[in-house]
Amino acid sequence: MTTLDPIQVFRTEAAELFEQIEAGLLDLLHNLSNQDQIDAVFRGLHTLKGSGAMFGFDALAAFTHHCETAFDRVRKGEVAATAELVACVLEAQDHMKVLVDQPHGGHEEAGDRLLAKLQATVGGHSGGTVVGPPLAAPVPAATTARGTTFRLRFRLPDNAMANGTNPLGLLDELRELGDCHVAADLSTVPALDEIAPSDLHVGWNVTLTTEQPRSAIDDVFIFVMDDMELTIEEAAAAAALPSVPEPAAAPSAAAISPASAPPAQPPHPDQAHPAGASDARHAKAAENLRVPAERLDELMDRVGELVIAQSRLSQLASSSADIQLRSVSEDVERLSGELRDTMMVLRMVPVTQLFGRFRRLVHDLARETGKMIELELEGESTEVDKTVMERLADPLVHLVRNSVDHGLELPDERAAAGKERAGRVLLSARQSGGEVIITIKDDGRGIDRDRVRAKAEASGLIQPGQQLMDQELLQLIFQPGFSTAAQVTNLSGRGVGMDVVKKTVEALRGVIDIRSEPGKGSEVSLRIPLTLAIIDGLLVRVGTGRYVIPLSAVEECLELSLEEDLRSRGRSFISLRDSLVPFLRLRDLFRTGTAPDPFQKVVVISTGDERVGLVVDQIVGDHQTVIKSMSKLHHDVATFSGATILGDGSVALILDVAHLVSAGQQQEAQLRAAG
Amino acid sequence: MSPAPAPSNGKVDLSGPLTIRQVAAVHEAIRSAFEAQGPVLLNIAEDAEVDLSFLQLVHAARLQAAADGRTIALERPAGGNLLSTLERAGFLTDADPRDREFWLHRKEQQ
Repeated sequence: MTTLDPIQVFRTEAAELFEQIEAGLLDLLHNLSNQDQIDAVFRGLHTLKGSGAMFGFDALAAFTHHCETAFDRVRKGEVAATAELVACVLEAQDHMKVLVDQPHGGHEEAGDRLLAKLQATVGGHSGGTVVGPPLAAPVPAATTARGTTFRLRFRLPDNAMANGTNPLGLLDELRELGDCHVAADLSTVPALDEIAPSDLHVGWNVTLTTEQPRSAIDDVFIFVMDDMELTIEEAAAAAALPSVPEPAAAPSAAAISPASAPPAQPPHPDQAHPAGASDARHAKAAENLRVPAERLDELMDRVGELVIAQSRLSQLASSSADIQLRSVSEDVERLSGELRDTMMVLRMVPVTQLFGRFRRLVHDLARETGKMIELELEGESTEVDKTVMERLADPLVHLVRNSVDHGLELPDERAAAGKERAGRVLLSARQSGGEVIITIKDDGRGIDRDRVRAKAEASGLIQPGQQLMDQELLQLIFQPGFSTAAQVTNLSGRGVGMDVVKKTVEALRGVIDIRSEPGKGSEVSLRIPLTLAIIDGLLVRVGTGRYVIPLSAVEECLELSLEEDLRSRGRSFISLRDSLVPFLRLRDLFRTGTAPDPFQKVVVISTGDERVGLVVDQIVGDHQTVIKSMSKLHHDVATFSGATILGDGSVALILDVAHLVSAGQQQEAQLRAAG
Repeated sequence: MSPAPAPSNGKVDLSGPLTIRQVAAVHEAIRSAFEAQGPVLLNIAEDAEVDLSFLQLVHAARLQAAADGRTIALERPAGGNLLSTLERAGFLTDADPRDREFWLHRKEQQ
């Protein structure tokens, strides 16, 4: 068992906090007076500061402190939240990420510049240096000279000390707020024989007279607020409650007689949670478990090997007359299938993690381009394999940038065209069979086909006047070096990116569909397999070789008799319920040099609306296919997307459905063109 | 932490850091002291680094002693880091005279 690196643990937590802060800031933009969002951002900054300091990220803690203080002023209503402030804190957050990644200095200048900007935005102090405490929270105006007296009772979670929380530090922070009377409540400390020594059994009663608002007390407990028991009452209110005792002295251990031991443990009169609530909290915490991704990958590899071994066992069993062996083999097959399915679910993560980052991207793009943009997200709960999601991030960034830069018009231009001033970008995800379909849609000007053609002709991608189907013309934008942007900006227009998008999507065994209507907008859909690791496949034989067709792409299987095959020579179409479907003879494509089987089969596969038939010699059956990548030497072999190991140890190639459908459609187009 | 090996006379020598990291070992050392006859004596080094977990453990030992009808005491009154930790943790605030006697060796009027 490996031990987790605490620094890495902090970095993981920091990444989550950054997401939380960013989401809060972007939500805040919709309603700048939303106190819940303001509080959420403040809490995120506060936690980041505290955790950073705890793990030795001092520069991060110091920098974040200033941002937190600025936001504290917003929280207290001293400064209004503005779009400028949000942008400024977002920028500061980027700097915090740098401080997390590179904690060993060298970023002071950039930090000072950002803090100066932040200071100017909140308008706290004029002209002063940002070094030191320029944004210190002022004393609230509503406090009296004497201040307010609060009575607090609190108990931290049992595992607080073991988790690194220092209760004495919390008490010190309370003392910093004012005149403080702290008394330990030892009534629930067990005797030596029963105590779990690293658990925390002590509670506290505190009387605090302070000029600070109650929120300052809440802030002390902000790290542990969710799991602790805490009551805070103003003294006057507390006095009116007969059930609230005075802050009690620690019960005397010496006063406990042997006869009365073990000491009774009366429930706290102010206990915030009913009996058993602590257990419930622990149970809730246990619902989720954070596991490093590499462990999941390792488990996935093991499951893959198990599936291969099970395949071998099935093969042995099928050729054996031993009934017991067959029975065991069937059990192992069922169990490995279930294990595989469970493993797949473990690897699935909602695309909301992916989509979240686009809110920030669109925010920044809107500021850079002067365009008004509304980002809509749909289907955020759609789940996809984590590896697929990670690899999709960059392509989606390119596509969203292109939608904004090339597609959406400036507000005046849109108004002149009778559109809303704000352009709309829709990012949606949905599952369809074994694929996830991610769509980026905008309501901008659409793709100018004439410019695409002119550019493609000028750069030699197509011949002048070459006949192209609409989809072929639109797909040209994914060619290397292609760009229709008249002006190169830092967003797009360099022709770098869209070809990378296509390559990345194809590497994921996915395809890109593109639709565009002049003046109304464009829609790019990425259709990606849900997983990259194990698929259900249809094992077929062509000549002497065996191949796997992803089962999710298979629509149906038909028999192609020798007579029909002979009749269809030169046509390569089959009639399928009144529609003609082109087919490819894999025996010819793979040049097997073997005679066709007398009872060939046609496997009809599809991607999207397009179908093609694959003529094979034999359908062997379904096969759990553990996908192995092709070597670098074979990366340019377009017909195959990978390989797998069969039960007998031989290798079967996995057919690239998208490529074959495309080839079939091209063949159809050529035959139609030939008349 | 360097709690002494299982004592034969109920005395436990406690030195070095006495914090959450060492609390399991300190727990065992004090329990061993209870196995011996006679009073349990805690000899806490003057410069020992202590935290709340240690204070809590000593309190648990006092409860155990009370339950077993045994006597437990500190070899010397709390001072230095131990005293400041007791104060920070609120163990001495409004404390019972017997608690003050245990920790500070001060007899007070009851």
